[in-house]
Amino acid sequence: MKLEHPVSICGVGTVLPESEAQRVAAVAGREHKVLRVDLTREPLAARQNESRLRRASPLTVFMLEAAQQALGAAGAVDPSTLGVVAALHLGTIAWTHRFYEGVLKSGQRFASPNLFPETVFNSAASHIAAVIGVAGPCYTVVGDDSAWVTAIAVAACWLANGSAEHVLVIGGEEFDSLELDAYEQARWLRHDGRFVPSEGAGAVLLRRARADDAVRVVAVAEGFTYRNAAEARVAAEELFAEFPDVRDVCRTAEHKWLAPIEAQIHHDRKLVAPPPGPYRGEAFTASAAWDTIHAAGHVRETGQPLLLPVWGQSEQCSALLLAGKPLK
Amino acid sequence: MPNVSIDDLKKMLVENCVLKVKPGEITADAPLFGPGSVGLDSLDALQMTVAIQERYGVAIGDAQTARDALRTLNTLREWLAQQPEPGAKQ
Repeated sequence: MKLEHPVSICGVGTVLPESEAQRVAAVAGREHKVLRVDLTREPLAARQNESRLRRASPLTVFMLEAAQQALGAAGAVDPSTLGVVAALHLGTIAWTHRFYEGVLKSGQRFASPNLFPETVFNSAASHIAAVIGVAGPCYTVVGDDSAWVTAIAVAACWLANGSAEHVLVIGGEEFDSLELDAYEQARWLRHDGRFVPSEGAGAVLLRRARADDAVRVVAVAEGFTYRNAAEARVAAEELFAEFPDVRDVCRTAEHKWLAPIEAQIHHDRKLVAPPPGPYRGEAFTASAAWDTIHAAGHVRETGQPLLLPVWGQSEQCSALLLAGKPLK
Repeated sequence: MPNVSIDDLKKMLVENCVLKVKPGEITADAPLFGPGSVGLDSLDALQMTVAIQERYGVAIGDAQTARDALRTLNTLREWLAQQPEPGAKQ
């Protein structure tokens, strides 16, 4: 829970979807609103011309751009002591869909050698490590939205044990119409339009915290699992009981099926609103990264500890506790 | 197999190797591999071998044949022209 060696965020990067939704048809279902990233816009268009990324999925392009922004914001970072942790829910789903569509259409004899490597979950992190020249550890955590918190925990572990001086933690998701069929089955796409699938990436660059850092991640809570609303409520109560003294909590479940639970459970705490501006949709690990960046900004402004719950759509609720400068 | 056009091969190359150029920007005698080439690598060679077999029904049977046939789009066209139509009696 409490990190023996807190970590600080020294750089951030985001790739956000366009604010105007597109209507996309499920493979075997209805049309739904989706928020997509425009790959024809700079700097993403230029990223795709990097020779290493010629075959890479959109996910890799999103995540690399977010990572480069985070590195750029931090100044000089030595790649020889840099690690990468990617957090994914769906992974390279668009390229994986294309690969298996080809297999089903033409037979496994004609399975695409070019697409296959991109179906591997660690492919995005591998591309990023290769482009940046990362010589430290490289790993991918797979789960629901809460994989983001696990990725932060992995990074904190590497920083504590000296495996890396800096760690890029990158959450990213790409959209494929195949998702809509699954979301319809899960009844997430109800007519109220509250849940809008999206895509993009977010990255934070972490290092071991110093005394004068304005924002630190001081605790990580994971493993509060559920299979339905009743279990989710119990899991969330157990999670928040771990932080009885924290008054400020980020509101992060507003557009999920977990929204009623979030609304009921925090009656005695101060809810911090999502960032102003258009709704960016639900991009799981990427959304968790965007929320973390927003929460870090809030802590920087207020200096108050802030609990950031990451409500997983399908598995578990996790949380990060962010704090300002330590008291002297 | 005499009726394979260079335009078809250009399109197949761009689609299969996910090249970021338009088919019309590739010349028929441009090297496909190596310095100053279109920029293909070993994975692309495998991809093209699979695509040729799927599209034209002829297999590139060994590495040396692949090296010779896939030097340029012209050499690929010439190699395809020498292959019997799939199912044709030899």
